[in-house]
Amino acid sequence: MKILKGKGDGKKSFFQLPLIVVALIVIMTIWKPGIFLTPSNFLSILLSICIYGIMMCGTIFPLLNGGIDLSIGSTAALSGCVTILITMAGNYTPAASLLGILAGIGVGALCGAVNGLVSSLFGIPAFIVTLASSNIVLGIAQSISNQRTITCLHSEVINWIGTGKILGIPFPVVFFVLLLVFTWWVLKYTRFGRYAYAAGGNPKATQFSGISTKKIQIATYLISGTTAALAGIVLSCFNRQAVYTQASGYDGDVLVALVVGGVSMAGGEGKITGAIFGLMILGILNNAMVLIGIDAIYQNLVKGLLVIVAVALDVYARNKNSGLKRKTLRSIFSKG
Amino acid sequence: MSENNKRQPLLEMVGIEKSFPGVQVLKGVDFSVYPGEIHSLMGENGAGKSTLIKILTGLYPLDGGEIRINGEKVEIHSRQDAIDAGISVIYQELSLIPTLSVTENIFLAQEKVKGKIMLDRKAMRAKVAEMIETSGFSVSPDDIIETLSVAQQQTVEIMKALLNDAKLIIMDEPTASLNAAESEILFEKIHNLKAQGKSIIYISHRLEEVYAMSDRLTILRNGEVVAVVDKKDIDPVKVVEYMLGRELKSEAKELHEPIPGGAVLKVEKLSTKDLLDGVSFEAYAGQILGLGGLVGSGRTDTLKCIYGLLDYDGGSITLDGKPLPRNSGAAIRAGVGLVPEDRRSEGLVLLSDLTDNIALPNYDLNSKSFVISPKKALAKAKESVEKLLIKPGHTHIPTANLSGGNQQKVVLAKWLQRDLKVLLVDEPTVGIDIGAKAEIYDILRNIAGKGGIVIVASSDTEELLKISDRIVILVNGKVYADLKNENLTENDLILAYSGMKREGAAQ
Amino acid sequence: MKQTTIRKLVSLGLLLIFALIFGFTTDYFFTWKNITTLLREVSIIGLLAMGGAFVIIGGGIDLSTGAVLGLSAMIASRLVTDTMLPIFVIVLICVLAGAVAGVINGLLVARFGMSEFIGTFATAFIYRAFVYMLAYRTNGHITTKTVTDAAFRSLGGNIGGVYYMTIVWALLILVTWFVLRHTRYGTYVYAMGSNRKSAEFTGINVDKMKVSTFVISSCFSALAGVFLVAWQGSANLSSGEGMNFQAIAAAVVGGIALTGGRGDTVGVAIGSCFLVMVVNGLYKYGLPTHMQPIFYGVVIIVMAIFDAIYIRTISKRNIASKKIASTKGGAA
Repeated sequence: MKILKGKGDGKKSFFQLPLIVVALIVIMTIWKPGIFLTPSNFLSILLSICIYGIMMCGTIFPLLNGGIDLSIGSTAALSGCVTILITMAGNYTPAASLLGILAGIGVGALCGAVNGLVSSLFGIPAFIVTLASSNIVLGIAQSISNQRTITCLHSEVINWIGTGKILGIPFPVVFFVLLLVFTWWVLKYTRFGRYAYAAGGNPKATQFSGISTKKIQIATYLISGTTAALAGIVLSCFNRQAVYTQASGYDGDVLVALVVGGVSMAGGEGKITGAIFGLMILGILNNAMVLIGIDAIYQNLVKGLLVIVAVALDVYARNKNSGLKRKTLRSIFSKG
Repeated sequence: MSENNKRQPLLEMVGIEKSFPGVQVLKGVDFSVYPGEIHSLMGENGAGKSTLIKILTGLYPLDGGEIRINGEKVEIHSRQDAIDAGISVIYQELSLIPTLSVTENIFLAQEKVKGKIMLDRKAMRAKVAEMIETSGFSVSPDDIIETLSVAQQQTVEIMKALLNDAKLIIMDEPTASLNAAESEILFEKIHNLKAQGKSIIYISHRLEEVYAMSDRLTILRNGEVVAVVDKKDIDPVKVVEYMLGRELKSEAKELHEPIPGGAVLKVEKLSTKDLLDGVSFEAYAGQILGLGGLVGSGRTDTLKCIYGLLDYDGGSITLDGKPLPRNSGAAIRAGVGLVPEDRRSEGLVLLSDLTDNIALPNYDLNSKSFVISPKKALAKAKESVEKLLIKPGHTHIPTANLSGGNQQKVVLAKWLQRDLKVLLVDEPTVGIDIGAKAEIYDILRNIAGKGGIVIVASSDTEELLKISDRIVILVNGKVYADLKNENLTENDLILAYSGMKREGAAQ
Repeated sequence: MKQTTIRKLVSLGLLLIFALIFGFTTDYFFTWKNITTLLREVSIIGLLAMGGAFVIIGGGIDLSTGAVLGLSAMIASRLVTDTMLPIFVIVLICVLAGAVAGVINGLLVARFGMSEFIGTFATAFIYRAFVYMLAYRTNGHITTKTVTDAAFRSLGGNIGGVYYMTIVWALLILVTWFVLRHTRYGTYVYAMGSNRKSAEFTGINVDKMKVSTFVISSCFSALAGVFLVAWQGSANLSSGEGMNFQAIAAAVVGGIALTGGRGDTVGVAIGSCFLVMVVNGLYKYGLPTHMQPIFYGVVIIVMAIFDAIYIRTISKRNIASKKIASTKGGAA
């Protein structure tokens, strides 16, 4: 009888993540007093979390289903560019802005749908499909923007989305929180959410229960593409400009947040509450590294190591429960 | 009684003992094979056949006893030891490399080299060509494995064994995936091998093959040898008796008649590309229909077709005159459920808890829209735990932590949520303890009693006789017999699975 | 190997068609200078693709080849400028560094059981960080230092117009083709990629083989890095960025199926030529550089779909393939 981490056990390890967040905050407050624990700094952390968070709300689905989406950064960039370009083409009128936003979302959904279709219909591993589409989408973004930054200062709608406030809270934050709640609701209270978990945990058994895992798979990528688009649009609105590099590297970051937050890459496991803490850890870590003055490349190094550790731990936990023989270095280097 | 007594055995296993924690699987088994002999090893599942073979091929260490080759003691602790001793095994699950050629597969891990590095392809090819020539196989050295049929792939496995200069070749269920013509060809090859002086240990549940081919039979039961029979002394009925160890006894059984006016499931001339060939039978509400047959006879495929999971290209399946839909989602809504063969990989999402598993096909019951109510799902799960006595009863445990019996109850609980018209069950109690078995049988009886149609496919003949009101026996994708469960014995069933009848048996 | 031959002919056909198109619609294409220049670019990508092919044939994937190239280039640049070590020692050290990277990649996958793409995806970041650490700095800013050592630079030179790196690449094609086709090691790589379970069952040490394929991949990448610096004259932070993607595209065009167990390095060479030639041709036709990744991405997806359909057709024809023990350690 294997003992897996049940929801009961989960409470114990559940507190690990918030503890890490608290620990990070404490460390940073001591390290950079006066700079870290300021409202403006926290606001910037919050805003970065929002953008990553919007993406995460969608990308959690392919991950739960046992796949991955490496194209979200490019999709965010493309959608942002599309929105701004259409807004400009329509002379910044509210109508044009709204059209631009719709188009941006549509583009993201399309990218997601293509990812889903190609990977599920032809059985091609998701990472190759999304890696390839990431390059394609980015190239398109570069082309339509002529590799330049497109500024957009005159659209009321765009400005409001980026910097407007609802009850004193910036719109991006409100939007993110609403989306987060919606995602939580979908995962817990809709059939689709439960199917996504089941299909990720055991696709065969899910099929035997009469559910089309292909459709689920396509849907998860559709969602991931759409949220990437939303994130890109919000980002562009906030910056009041669109540039094809605006979300580069975000796919890795969101992956870090999800994996650290307990969403297993093998599928079927992970809660959005954990992902939220993963997001916080990511946001604070990014901010911390900038404050400390670590170069961007070293930041990537840290994140790369973080992913390796998190995935290795996850693999270890799974293997421990399934009783596979642990491989020793010796067995790898021995003859035959 | 023949020259066998004067010849020395090639292989002798003397007093073999093997235990696993808590259970002694082999209790002093003596087994011998002469050179150039086809010797079949027989026994029910769990009698100890595969353990004996695994010891012989170096996968398990033995706890007691000795293995002798040509009279000399040998120690077999690894695959290589077995190969060195001249023993090769061909499992049902072939272990070939699909994208490599016949020659490359045969020589895999023991290639001929020119100098120290370069493969001597010419020499390897020549050897393979020679083997093909001598044995009359119908493959050529450069064929890529994935382009060959199963039968042809099996011959490649045989050649792999021959390459190692195997003197003893063990074949485990070799005809399970072959059709009649291919099986004939295999038998021919086995006889060729015999003519070359090789010995074969043949393991199969297909009795008529075994009887036709073997020079001797050794029958195991509960880890002991109960009989060693020479070819001329083979009596099919007696052999089965030895295997089962039970007297010819028909238990008086309470039969249930179909509920008048109840649902009727009609399967007519069901055919699939692979296996099924005109299967026809009817099942009635209030009865449990048992589906019997050997592995590969088409039981699982039949159930899958009814459930809409497997596509069929001939015949029809109707419930109360209306054709059943051809996909499982719709089939479920039409009132059909399937408890699959392998509960761990097909029946449950092990990572998920009881609540999620029980609710998985049932969200449409609680609410019309895509919104679900976790509360209702939880309530239903708790209900199931109580009704079916699932232990432990915490609904939040991942189902991986449950025992086999309780896992199966969860799978059943899934379907009990629905008012099913047809419940299909594939191997209801594999790996489940006696207590849980009885509980599951009760559950199935209840479902039938309430007006459902229950079809149970099982390899366990005792079980089939215990719970079925009628039994349909499949042989090679066709219906061989369709009988009331009156005065039937396990022997009848086992013989029937191989297409044979006991003299004077009931129809 | 019929399928592989057909596949190679397909790639060769594509190559020739495009070559003819470019040749007849422009007047510089068939010039000696153009061909040798193209071949020079092909050698760099070709080396990456060749090494990566070992990993892919073995059933995995290596996403860190570009980063290893960059790292090796930086190491070479440093060693040549700051030390008096002889050239061949420097080259050796670089290749050794590649080997170490390969061992790390391999262990992550074999020992720690990570899926290949996550492992090499993450290590790429790590190797890039090392590039960064080794880079030259003036007053805290990254600068690019030109390598002036003539002896070293000569590695990037040419003889009669044909670059040394092209010659090395061509020789390595022969060597790798030999290893894959005519040695036991090669057979085991195919076996491992085609059906890991069966390979293990036959007694092949799959873990050791995995690590070795990664080592080969990284060594080739390291070699490419040395050549790049020798020719270009300097190594910078982004040397090799994006090249692993091109290398995979080249391999996939050349007949290496992402599922493993198929293809050979001659096909990869054809694929590399095809890729570089078409991209260059499109560039001259006015396709901007930033659109090239689109081309690579499309190529990968199209060829992956093609292979998927082809393999499915073979499987359908034979119910046989269902019966072989099948496990593929496919990445998510």
